[in-house]
Amino acid sequence: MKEEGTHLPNWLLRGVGWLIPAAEREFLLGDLVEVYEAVWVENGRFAANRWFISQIVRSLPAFIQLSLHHWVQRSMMMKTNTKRDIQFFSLGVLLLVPAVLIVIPGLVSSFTGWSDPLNSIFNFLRSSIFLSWLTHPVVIMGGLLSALLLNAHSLFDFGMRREPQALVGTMTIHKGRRLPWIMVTTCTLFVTVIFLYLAAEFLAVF
Amino acid sequence: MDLLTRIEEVILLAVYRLGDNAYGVTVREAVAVALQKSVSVGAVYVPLDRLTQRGLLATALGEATPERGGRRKRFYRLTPDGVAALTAVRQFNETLWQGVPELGAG
Repeated sequence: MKEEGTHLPNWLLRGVGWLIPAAEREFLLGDLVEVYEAVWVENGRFAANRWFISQIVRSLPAFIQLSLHHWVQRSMMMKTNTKRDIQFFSLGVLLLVPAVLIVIPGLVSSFTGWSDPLNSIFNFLRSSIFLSWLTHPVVIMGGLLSALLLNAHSLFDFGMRREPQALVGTMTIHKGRRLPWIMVTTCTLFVTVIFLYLAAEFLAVF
Repeated sequence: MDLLTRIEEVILLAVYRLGDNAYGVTVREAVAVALQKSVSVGAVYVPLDRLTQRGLLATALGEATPERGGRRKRFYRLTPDGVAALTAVRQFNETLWQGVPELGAG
């Protein structure tokens, strides 16, 4: 099915439009259609098709550059509005580092029985006067609890208030941005599991 | 000194020459004539976007037309900063070539 006023099929224009950032789409597509029709009238269908394909292929780097530029602009605007979000997220990631250092060797030890890496890490930390406090269960659980709250804050806020604009936390989530949801959810579940595991170990010790 | 690139200079000049009729298609044609080679549609839009972001060009929307499949045109015009940038480039070129004898072999 074709658009009114052009011989180009709808599906092709939609496909090409997908390559172009939304802010430029109407005008760029309009230019392509206008010149395509002019070439059709002057030189016929095959010349017009050849011209169109040539334009799309040659314009691909420009489309990518435009898309990147517009994405960077939008990200920079988001950055200004969510500076606090980035700070929270950075802190949450930092607190996740000890969790990663513990859980990966712990999982390796559980599945393979190979406990050397975990023991090595703890032995190294305990051997240092400055770092031994890091191995205290209260410190580990306190850090992980903070990471849990920092990462989960945005989920609780969104869940209770149902307002994307009200999100303040590790990630600002906008309509259609599914990746941050996955990242926040994964981080939160990860930290929750580690926290519960160590809480169980801590309670068992006492 | 922050001079325009060659393509930016060509585009600004094209917009200036086209007056009220400066939009994507006409600017592209003018650039192709100036450079004496074929220019892709996308290649013109990148510097147009950049120049607009820098405040050297302003835009205005035109009416939708059937020839464009019901899509509007976006017209460009030079801002005072754009005029100043072109003037600066012109003066720079004139100064650069001042006193240079006619070029010949050797």
